[in-house]
Amino acid sequence: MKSTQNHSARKASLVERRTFIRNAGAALSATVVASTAAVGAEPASDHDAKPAQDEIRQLHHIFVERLNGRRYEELGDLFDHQPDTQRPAVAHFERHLPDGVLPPVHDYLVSHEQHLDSVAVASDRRSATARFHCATRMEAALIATLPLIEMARQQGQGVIQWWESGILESTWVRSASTWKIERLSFRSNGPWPPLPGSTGS
Amino acid sequence: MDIRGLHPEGAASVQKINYPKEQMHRIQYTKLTQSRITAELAPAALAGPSSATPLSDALAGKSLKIATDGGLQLNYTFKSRNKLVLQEPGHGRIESGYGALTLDGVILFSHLIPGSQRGYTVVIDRGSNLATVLEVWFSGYKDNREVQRELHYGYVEVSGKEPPQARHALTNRLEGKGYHWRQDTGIETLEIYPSVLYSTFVELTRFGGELCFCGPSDYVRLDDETYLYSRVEAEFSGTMSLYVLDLNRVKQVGMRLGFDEQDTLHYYLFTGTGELLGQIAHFEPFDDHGEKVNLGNRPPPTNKGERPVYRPLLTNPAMTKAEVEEAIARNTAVFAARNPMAGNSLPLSAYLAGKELTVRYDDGGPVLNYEFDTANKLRWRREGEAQWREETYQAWEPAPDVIFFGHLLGGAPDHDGVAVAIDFENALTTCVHGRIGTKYMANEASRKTWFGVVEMEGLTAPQYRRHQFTDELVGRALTWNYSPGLTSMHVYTTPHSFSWIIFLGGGAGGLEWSGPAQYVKLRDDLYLFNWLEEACNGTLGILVINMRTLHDCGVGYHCGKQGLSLSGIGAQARHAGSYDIRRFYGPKQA
Repeated sequence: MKSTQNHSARKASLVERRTFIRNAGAALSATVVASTAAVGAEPASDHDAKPAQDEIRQLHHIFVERLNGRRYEELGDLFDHQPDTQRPAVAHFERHLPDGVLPPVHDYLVSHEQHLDSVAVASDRRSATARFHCATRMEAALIATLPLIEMARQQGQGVIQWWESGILESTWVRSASTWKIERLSFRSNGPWPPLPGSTGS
Repeated sequence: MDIRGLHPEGAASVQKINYPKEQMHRIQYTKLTQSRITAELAPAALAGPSSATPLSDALAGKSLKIATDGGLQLNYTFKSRNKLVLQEPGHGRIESGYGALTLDGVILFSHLIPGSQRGYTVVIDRGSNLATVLEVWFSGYKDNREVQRELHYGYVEVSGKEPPQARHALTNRLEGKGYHWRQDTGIETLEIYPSVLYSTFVELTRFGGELCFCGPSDYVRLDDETYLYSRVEAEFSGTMSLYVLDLNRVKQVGMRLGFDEQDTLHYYLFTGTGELLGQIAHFEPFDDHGEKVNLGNRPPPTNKGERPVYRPLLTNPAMTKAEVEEAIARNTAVFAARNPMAGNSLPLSAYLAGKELTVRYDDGGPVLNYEFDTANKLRWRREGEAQWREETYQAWEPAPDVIFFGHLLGGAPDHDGVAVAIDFENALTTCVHGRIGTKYMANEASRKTWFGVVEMEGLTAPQYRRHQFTDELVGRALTWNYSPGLTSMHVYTTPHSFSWIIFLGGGAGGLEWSGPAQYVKLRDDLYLFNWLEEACNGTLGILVINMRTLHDCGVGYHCGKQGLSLSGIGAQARHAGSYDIRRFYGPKQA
């Protein structure tokens, strides 16, 4: 069945990493990538799950569009969470970063390999787990107290950037009218290029 | 252009080089009111721009309809070679003066709109019928005198012909070039394009050619040999200069609009001839031709005329003396950790540990006794004093037996710091002595550079030989990678100044600023370079640059709201190229 995955094989290789998705409108939960099981019982059949899968894929594309467009306020609408007031901070991988670098704050999701993606819908069609193979471009800001860095920030720089390919896993719950993201995690194959001074993982 | 206005009446009888009383970054330009600007522009709008070269009559008697992609439509009727009628949808019909000049197949014309603070300068390629319109206006920024601009790309409508598909476009094809320009006004400038957002200019005639300055700039490709360039002297007079340049013939036709330091309006067309001084490298991927500017995570511009403009005093407002003292009392950081400016630093050197020596500087300079207790603790005293003071220092060995170190001079009323280069092989030393506070800004560093000798057991100092100022680096450009994500480029533009450029995400040059600088030759291919970020954040930076290893070491001395800091600097360089520019400087016989 295309819509299910071999979860246990993934779990064994995971290094625990936490992903935070926050925005001004919503606090989006951290999760451990290993917790990949869909909420609910047995998966629904392909035929029964198709409408839900299509809807989730569509919502995922909206999520990517808003994330890449840094429309964080609009991202909150896609999540099944209450808002908080934290500033946007997306996808914190537990990386050892060089001195003078703040935690990552932005990412872009690109290069979806759609033939590998899967959306497993629970039989009650109240929950689902989606896995999207993609690459994410990470940015981490340099400490801004230096004039040169402040100057760089004014032109959208003052950051270090790297790529991480892997699997973005999202768990979804059905609300009254639509599907909402419950949790997000990103199982990374590691940073590229290797981070200077990084132990990687 | 009459440059005599910069001097008191009658004072320029002998002096041929026009040194201003204050350099551009020190002039307190008047905050002009909107009504004053409107009043000043009114006669210029009626008369059109002046021109030392006879105006072209290429447009006289013709009508043009220009359509642009953003919806701007300009319907012109040119009644003569200096009078036009403009019909803009939604704006009614106006009559104004104008002026036109041609360069090969390109015609440039410019006019203001009577009763307003705006106008248009239009560039038309008569072969392709493509047109680029620079809409310009005053009072679009909180400093009303700063000319704003918006670029509109379009074409001249030709009856019975389909609109052309091509457009003029932003480009990086000028990036890295440098020119000497001589206008028909007699004005000479050096102009360097090290960025796709900014450019560097040296006013040889208007300001004596001592310092370079920079301003936000546009670079538009008309065709492979013809380009449109503009810059605004933002944070200074706010004047706009723009011109079409022909790369093969090295000629220009252009327009200058703005108020000078005496608030006199200049609105004129010019022609010029140039000389290509060099082409330094630029660092975009090879397939990137610069049609779009990569502004990384900065939100795309949405307001008319919006673009990145570095306004250093907005992010680094001047402090009062009381604020300086309070900030320094609260926090003085000497070689703090986690410093991205030192990510590629040379290893710290223990060369001095255990040594005792005296540095003796000429001409009334300091004479300092040193005892270096460890690799990062020293004691010093002025010669003749009994009491030693202990300081934290850092030292590097940028070349064999050349040591560069820095520390604060505790107890000094101006929170002094020194950066000292000692060449033990030659018993020579140079000291850059920094102080916090100038007559312009309480938090701005000033510096004095001293040349002298080092006295130590086993060394005999020379009697006459000294390190000395040099112009050997002038014209060169070096990129400096301080840390991951933090790279700049230095262009050593004049013997007394330089510019630094921050790279955009795609490797193109981005924002830029300039400051006074000094260059000292320590040895062949080894230089001590210092700069002041005047009318900016006030930093004094002092580096030793080794052109053989393309690595530097140095210290930054800075006072701001966070207090006083003395911090390490270390970066790896790439040689980006050089300009043949030194011959334009130095005392000359006119």
